[in-house]
Amino acid sequence: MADEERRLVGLAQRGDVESFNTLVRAYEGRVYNLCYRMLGDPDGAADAAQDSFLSAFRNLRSFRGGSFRSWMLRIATNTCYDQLRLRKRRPAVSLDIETDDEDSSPLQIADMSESPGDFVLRRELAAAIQRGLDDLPDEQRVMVVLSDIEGLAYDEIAQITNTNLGTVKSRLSRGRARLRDILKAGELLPSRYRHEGDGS
Amino acid sequence: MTTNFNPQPNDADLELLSAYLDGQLNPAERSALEQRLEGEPALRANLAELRATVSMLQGLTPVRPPRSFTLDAQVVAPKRSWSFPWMQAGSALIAVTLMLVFGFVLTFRGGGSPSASSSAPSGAGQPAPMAAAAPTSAPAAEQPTAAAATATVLPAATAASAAELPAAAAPIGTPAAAPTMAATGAAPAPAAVLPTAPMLAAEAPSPQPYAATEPTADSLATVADTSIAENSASAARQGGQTAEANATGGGAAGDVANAPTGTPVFSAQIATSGSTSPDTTGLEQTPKATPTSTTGGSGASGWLLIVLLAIVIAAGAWLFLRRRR
Repeated sequence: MADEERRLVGLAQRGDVESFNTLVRAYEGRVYNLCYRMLGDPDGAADAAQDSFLSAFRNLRSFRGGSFRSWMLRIATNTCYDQLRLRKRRPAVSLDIETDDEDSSPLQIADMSESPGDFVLRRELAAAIQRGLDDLPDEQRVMVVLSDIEGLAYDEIAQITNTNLGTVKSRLSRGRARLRDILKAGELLPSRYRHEGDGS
Repeated sequence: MTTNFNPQPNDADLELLSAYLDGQLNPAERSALEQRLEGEPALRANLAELRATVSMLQGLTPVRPPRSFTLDAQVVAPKRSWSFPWMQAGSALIAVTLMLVFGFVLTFRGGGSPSASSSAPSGAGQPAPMAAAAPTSAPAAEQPTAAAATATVLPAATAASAAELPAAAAPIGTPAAAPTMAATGAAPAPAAVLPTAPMLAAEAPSPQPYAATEPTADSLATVADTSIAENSASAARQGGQTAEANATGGGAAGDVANAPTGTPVFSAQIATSGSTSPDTTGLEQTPKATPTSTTGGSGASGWLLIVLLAIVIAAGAWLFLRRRR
């Protein structure tokens, strides 16, 4: 797989768009998810993902080996940061309305084995978690997303975010704690965790 | 109803708990924390909450991209090449300009009026410049080959080697003025097409062959001296040789980024043509060819100009397309 990926990157570096598109297909789910969790809205995430791949193709010459996934996710992360900065400068577009809108949440396919009620619950929970993520500071959110949603190891996260292991650890722990507080305040954490401290 | 007042752990504890969840503690840290967890229910509750939070995040269903983000080759590829290659276009333009200027100089000298140019006819009338470079003397006959051997080296080296030619031939030529005179004497010369000093100096010797002798190898005098050798050679051959020199020199000018400082290139071409032509033709043909120079030179240099322009344009286009990929 790594060899195949290296071959595709080499071809793409020589301008072969189709080889690059093979890489796009392999990573678009991951990149889009990252963008969606970072930005909180499907349309912005789609734009950011598209921009990321375009930027990756144009800057492919600067890729000097190593993990293509890390390189790609780093571009996506930076693209998201750019979008977030843009939004902070132009806050006229209310994002709250969009995120509160049920229809704006991205496609989440119902598991055939779950009941419609469960599906709705799961969807609501997902929306609540996303709102919690939205409330995190950007630099904490990126750590939580990369670690707990993308499932990446600390060293790769450090590489993607251009930080060091210590920064990853501290920002991740603060992000998790803050998200926990948000979820607790929304009574979204299962009660047994909320009550555990009261007992013995 | 139930209140939850787990004491908030400090940042250091939070970091420990978080890293513990990820299995990122070293054995010592881990056992120390586990020991604390045994005795501190609040810490334990915090760990449980953090774990629940993480598992909720991990349990999120991946969202599906609304569309594919593959790139359209037609959109991506042209966009890259739309950036105009200014450098390449610039160097090509410089090369073409150089060729035009040289082409004019060539036609002017080869086929132009005798009064305006420094060319062979006037030189033929005066024996002094002829003698300066003509292979009538033994040392002079040797010099052209030596100069020709170094004709393709750097401009400075070529000029230096070419400087030996008139220096050796100096006793034959009319003793003459200082290099400054060569420069100033050139001013009234009507053939001053180029504003560059070497070219002006090169034009100068025809009416007055004084520039032939200064052995101090000042750069101006050097070029002027070389041009005498050039002038005394047959005009037809001279045209051919200079044209070759121009062809290579023009290519070099196209490649060199700082081509606008064209002076070294000019002198290199003059020196090359000057030193090369005696090598091949000077020995036998100079005296015979001189009378026919006025008629033979104009037609040949006109054609050469056309051919050279075509070559330069083709080279520029090739360069342009090659860089574009």
